[in-house]
Amino acid sequence: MNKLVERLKNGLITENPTFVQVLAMCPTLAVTTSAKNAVGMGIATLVVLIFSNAMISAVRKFIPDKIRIPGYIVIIASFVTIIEMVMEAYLPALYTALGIFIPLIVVNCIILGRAEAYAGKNPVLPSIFDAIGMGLGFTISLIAVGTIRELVGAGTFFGMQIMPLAYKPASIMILPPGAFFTLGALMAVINYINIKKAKKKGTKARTLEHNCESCSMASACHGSNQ
Amino acid sequence: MKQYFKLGMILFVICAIAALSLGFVNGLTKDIIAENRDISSSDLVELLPGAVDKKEVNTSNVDKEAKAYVDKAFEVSGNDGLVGYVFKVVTGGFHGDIEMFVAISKEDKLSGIKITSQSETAGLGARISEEKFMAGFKNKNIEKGISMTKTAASKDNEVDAITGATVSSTAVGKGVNTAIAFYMETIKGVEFNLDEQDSTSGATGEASEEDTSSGATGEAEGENDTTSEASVSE
Repeated sequence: MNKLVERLKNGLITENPTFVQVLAMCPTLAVTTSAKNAVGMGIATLVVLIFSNAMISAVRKFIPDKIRIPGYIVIIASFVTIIEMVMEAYLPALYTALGIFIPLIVVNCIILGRAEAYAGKNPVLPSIFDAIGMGLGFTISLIAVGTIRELVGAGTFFGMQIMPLAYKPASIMILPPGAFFTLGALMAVINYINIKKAKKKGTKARTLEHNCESCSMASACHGSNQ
Repeated sequence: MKQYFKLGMILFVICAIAALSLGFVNGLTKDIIAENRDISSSDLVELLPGAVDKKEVNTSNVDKEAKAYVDKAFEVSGNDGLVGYVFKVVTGGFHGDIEMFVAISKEDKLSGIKITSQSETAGLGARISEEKFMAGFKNKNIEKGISMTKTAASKDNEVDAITGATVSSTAVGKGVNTAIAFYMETIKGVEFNLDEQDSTSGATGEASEEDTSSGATGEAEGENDTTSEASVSE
């Protein structure tokens, strides 16, 4: 039981996909134009993550190591396509709301990253919880960025007017530069908190520079310390 | 050699299972998707209450190279017969094409519009997708066509434009008028002159979308303030 809860905490905080692992930057920047879009994308990714982690963990003993990447990709792409077809047929309103984001999930590196780093080497139940933790962590990060961008850039939150009418929204926040501003600022804040905390404990903080363990490309990367 | 054969076989099995599952789900869903592709049933009922079924109307005479044109037309019927018509219109906006549905009820009234696709400026032209703007088109008379206005809509055929988004608002108005023209001429067989109706009253000749500073438009400061309260800029 503890192991499963640990997986949740890992995905939500310790190895948060957005702010700690810095994965899936493209969808994060593109999708967070509003809190509602962020939630939609986050939930869709969470669902795909759960199914793909479960499936890949279930067949991990049957897929030889040499062909695991193409194997994972076929499985993930098939799941996303099936989910897309089912949504388009039975949930057309949600499908139009998420639109292009659904096929984009296939190339969301969190999915392949977790398959490679965890589901391919661990049993099904912990893999499912890993997926839930990472998916929720991703969703919450998206909502954080999306909320800030929507509040400052449009004065609304989930479409509801929050800022006083006299507030003139800074539209740049809803456009691509705003994505970079918000994401960068949030990361700086979180890293600052982590560094402070680590200093108190006397350990080294987990910032981008020092976190190569969970990355599947570590052995090939110049900048890694693996 | 044997090892590669084994790897190949396993890959084949994985892909075969994937292909089978995909084919299966596709078979289940493709009919529903095709039906929903033109316009989903929930959208249809929202635009024309009581709508149950639709039948496509011939649009081959439409000039699909024009700036605004009717891409598809549907005769919509309910339990008691004809309910109205729904038109899928494509019109040129500020940044690209705007796609929308225009619904005209059998009583010859504009039943409503729904913007389905647009790429206008966020915070300005993109507001044409907002409920508030689209609601301005409900229950309008179509005989004189729709006229977008920057001051509060007073006449029966006037609709509030969005402050700072003249081009986008006008594009929508033009799209609606194109649907009305098609309805009048092709379906009702009545002559309808589109050019007369294509006006934006209250415009001061500004064409810039980003023009939100009141000094540049030449409108009086006071008028600009009332416009932002009355129109859809909130």
